[in-house]
Amino acid sequence: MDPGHFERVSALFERAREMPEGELEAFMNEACGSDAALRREMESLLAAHREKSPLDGCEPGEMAGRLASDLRDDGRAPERIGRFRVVGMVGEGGMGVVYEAMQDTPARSVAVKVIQLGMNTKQVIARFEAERSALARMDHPGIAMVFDAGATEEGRPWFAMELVRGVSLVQHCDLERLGLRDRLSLFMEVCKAIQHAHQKGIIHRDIKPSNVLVTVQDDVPQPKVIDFGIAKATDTEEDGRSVFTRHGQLIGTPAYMAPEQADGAASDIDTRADIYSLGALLYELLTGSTPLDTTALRGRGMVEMIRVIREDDPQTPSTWLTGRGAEAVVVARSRGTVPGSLVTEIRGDLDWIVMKCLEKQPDDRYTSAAELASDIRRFLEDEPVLARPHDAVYRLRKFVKRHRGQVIAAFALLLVLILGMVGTTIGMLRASERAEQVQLVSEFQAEQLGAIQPEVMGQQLREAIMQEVTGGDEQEMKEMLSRVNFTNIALGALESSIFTNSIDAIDEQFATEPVVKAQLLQTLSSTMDELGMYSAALDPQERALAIRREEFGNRHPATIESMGLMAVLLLNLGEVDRAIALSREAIEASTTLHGGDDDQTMTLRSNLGTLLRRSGDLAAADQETTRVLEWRKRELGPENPLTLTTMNNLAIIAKRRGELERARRLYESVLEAKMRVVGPQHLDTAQILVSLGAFHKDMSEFEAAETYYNNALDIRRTLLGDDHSATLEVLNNLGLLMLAMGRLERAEGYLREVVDAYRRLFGDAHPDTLTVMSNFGGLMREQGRNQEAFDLWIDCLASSQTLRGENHPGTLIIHSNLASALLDLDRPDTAFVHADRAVELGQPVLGESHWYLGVFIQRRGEALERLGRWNAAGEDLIRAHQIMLETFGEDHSRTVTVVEVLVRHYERRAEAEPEGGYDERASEWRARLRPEEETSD
Amino acid sequence: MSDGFQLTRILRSDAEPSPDDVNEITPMLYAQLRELASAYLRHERADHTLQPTALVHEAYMRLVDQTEVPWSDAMHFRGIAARVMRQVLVDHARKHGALKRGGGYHRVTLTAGLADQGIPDLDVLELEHLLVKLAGLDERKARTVELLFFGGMTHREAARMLGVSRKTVEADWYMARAWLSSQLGKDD
Repeated sequence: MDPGHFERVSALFERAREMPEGELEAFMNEACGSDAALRREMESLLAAHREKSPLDGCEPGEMAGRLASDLRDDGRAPERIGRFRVVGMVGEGGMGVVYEAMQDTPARSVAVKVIQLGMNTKQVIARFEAERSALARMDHPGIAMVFDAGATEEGRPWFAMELVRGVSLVQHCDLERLGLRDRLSLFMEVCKAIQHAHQKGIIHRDIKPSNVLVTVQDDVPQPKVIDFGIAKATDTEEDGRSVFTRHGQLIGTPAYMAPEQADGAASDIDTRADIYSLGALLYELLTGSTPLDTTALRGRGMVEMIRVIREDDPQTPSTWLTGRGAEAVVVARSRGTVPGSLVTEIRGDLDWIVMKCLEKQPDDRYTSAAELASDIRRFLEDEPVLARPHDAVYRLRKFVKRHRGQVIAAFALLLVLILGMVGTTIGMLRASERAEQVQLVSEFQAEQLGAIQPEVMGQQLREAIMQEVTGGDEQEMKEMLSRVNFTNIALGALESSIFTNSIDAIDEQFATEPVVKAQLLQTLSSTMDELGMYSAALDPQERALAIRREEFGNRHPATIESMGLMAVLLLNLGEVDRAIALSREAIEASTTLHGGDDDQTMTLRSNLGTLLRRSGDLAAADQETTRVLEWRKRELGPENPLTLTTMNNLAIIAKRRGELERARRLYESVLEAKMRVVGPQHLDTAQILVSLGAFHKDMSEFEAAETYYNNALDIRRTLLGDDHSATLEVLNNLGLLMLAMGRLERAEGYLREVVDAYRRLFGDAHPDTLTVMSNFGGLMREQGRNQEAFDLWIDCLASSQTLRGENHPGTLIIHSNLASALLDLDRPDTAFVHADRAVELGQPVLGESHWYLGVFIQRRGEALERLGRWNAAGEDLIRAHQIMLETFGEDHSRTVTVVEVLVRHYERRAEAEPEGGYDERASEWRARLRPEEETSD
Repeated sequence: MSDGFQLTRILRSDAEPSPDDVNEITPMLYAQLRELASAYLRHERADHTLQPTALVHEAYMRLVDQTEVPWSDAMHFRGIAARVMRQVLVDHARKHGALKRGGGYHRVTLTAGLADQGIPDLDVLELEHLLVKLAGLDERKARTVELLFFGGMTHREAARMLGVSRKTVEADWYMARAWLSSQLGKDD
């Protein structure tokens, strides 16, 4: 076959490929004529086209999987590495494979570690070379020498070192069932070896059990620290950040890693990072466990892991062992003793010694390994140890730690009492089987649970602690407390000690009474839903509904209640379609049951309206909500709170639909009614003021917006206080409003207050904190601080990806923001990468016509233009315009902005390609701007 | 000069990767892909599908500082990666074939995995042979197969990479697919 023939066949095939069956025959007859070979060829191609092909069957994923498994078999030991002859494999670890090898001169066995991870080999070796002379100066029986480094043929770095035949220190101690004293003696040897290295200027950076081996010669155990110089050499990031955080994944050994190392600031690491790791090793020698349970955290991502390493205080070794039950027996047995004696032996001095090593601040640790060894010697010789608490700050910190636990325990106890009482009461009633009373009690339970406000609990907790501290260093205390997220503590306490227990208790106590069980599960689930624990609430919710369907059938008030509540929960979980289906089922059941023209059905319809709005079906949302509004006006009266809520909802829908006058009228009616009914100093009034503020801001009526916001702010500050999230919401809105008005100084004032408050109240790793920080980036950009904005957003991006997920709209907005900042920084290439990511990830999540997507596409278009890719840029900008036009209408500022961008785009293109007729395109788009100018005249 | 710089330089050129480019970065990429693949197998659950796109993307992340390299370079990289992926497979198949020497020709096939779908296995070397032949007939179609099949690119990405429309990529792919399928298994 020749290319010409192939081309003809291709062309015929292309036409035949999508041809309807009926026309194909005629086409083939005409195309092939009497050429039977061509006819056969075409038919064979078309048959192949219709059938499955091995090219489909080997989905790319399968292919790579196959490749990977084949390649894995391929991992045979090389014959030689550098000047060493490989004898066998010693072990395989996270970092690489270790081989036993022979060196010819001098003749000796060595261990060769080949690093497996994708590292920059030349840099690794260069780093090793830089430390080589220092490494060579080390001479200590407790240190395994590193001889050489190089690169394999495949370009992987390797290190050759003294071959140590032995097991890890921890294994050795457990195998030999060494008691505490023997363990401490061996550990002191390790300290001395580390001290020797530190004196030669070498920091190990990766001290952990597998790097401290024990060889036994003539019955004398000798600990040897291996891998000196390797952690540093393989820590190859150029900007001083450690491998630990590289590419957003955990590399290294977090259980033994000092907080400052986890932070990633490799340049700040000094010998005290090794002291921390020694402390972690000692902790394990004493208790059999690492200080922080990092294995349990592996699944929860890097940010959480780093947070734990930086912030969580480990339990003291003796506390950890106390109450470990059977586990403690095993631990004690391998130390030749029983749990009680072990705890007594450790409590006090050894606790202090370990905890001093594990201090978060390097300054609070032992200053050297020698000092640590001396303190252990003092303990062994019954002298008072240095590690006893001495200064005020130290005592204070310990006090808070103790106290925090007590206060939480008190709160938890209170709640358990409430629930416990409910449980007991129901338990007593069960005998009499009086359904009414059960109902009553579970309502009481609902009321109690409904009163839980984690934020308030957190605040009270904080205040209780502050009050306890008198005479101490109050400023210091405040500063320490400011880092604690009390709301999370309260929530955590609720989830672990209240809700989980309650579900278990309900399951157990009411196994034979499904009706009561469903009632209680429903209450719990709704409470959890209100507290924002959506995913945890789903299981009890699903079970409550299932039980009620089973017990009552679908057309029963209780089943309908569960359907309605589950729909709301599903909405909160983002499962809008499922929520709508369930909501419609509930309405249908309720209509059959109550007739449809009733309170309950209307409540369900009202919720359906919200669901439909969220799903983007605005016409249907409008229809449902209008129907509810009319009914409520008629049946409940025009000033009833429910009527007003519905009116507010309808205003939101009207605004989304672009019916702005209608929206304005609705909002204003709500405000007037609220003023009449509840007065100006009321949270309901504040709520509608905020809505009106937002409405006017979107209409670019900034002064009016400011007035509404300020009124709302006054009310909320007075009624809720400065730190309440509702107060902060208004402040945030005001900040963004000032930003839109170009009043940057005032914007900064507002936004800074918001950011500070969120960080204080919720901590950095909280979605809301992320949102306000991201807003602050917007301000910096307006102020021309593009680089700072970029830096902030890059941080936000990483947290957002972890906290909210890669394709969460919040994450996508940060990508888009980054693109804007990068465009201003004149880095269109990277801007493109971010904008493109926002578009690609956003499309499936947001749908093709969401205005966020419009913004992302616009950014990408702008980046493409700057890269000189005119056609693609034009396509994007036109698509962005289409979306804005459909969403906001022609006169909206967002639409106008895209038109302006398009005008400039074609003007520039006309300059670049004068013959392309782009002048005309520019004037066409310019014409669209005119009507706007005329009306403003 | 470090590997990273070298790679970036290769990536910065505008044209399709030359054979020299490929030869230059193949060892790096080869090692990367192997390591990543086996790392995935070690850590991922058995039911997790391995995506070459993910592999290639990650290899890229590891080899190049993302913030320094514009999008066009990223695609360029993936273009090279597709070729390297193909080469890795072929080398591998040849090696395994050679290992079996004496015991006859040992076919290295890519299994579809879901056996009950009635999809035949694919002989890597046979595919390679046909791809070379296809390149002689229509280079772009062969390259399209390479990008989609070995590089895990979407039609859209391949279209951008090759500077043609998505429709063209589609037409090229279906023709190449039909042609390759009709030739596979024919002993010639």
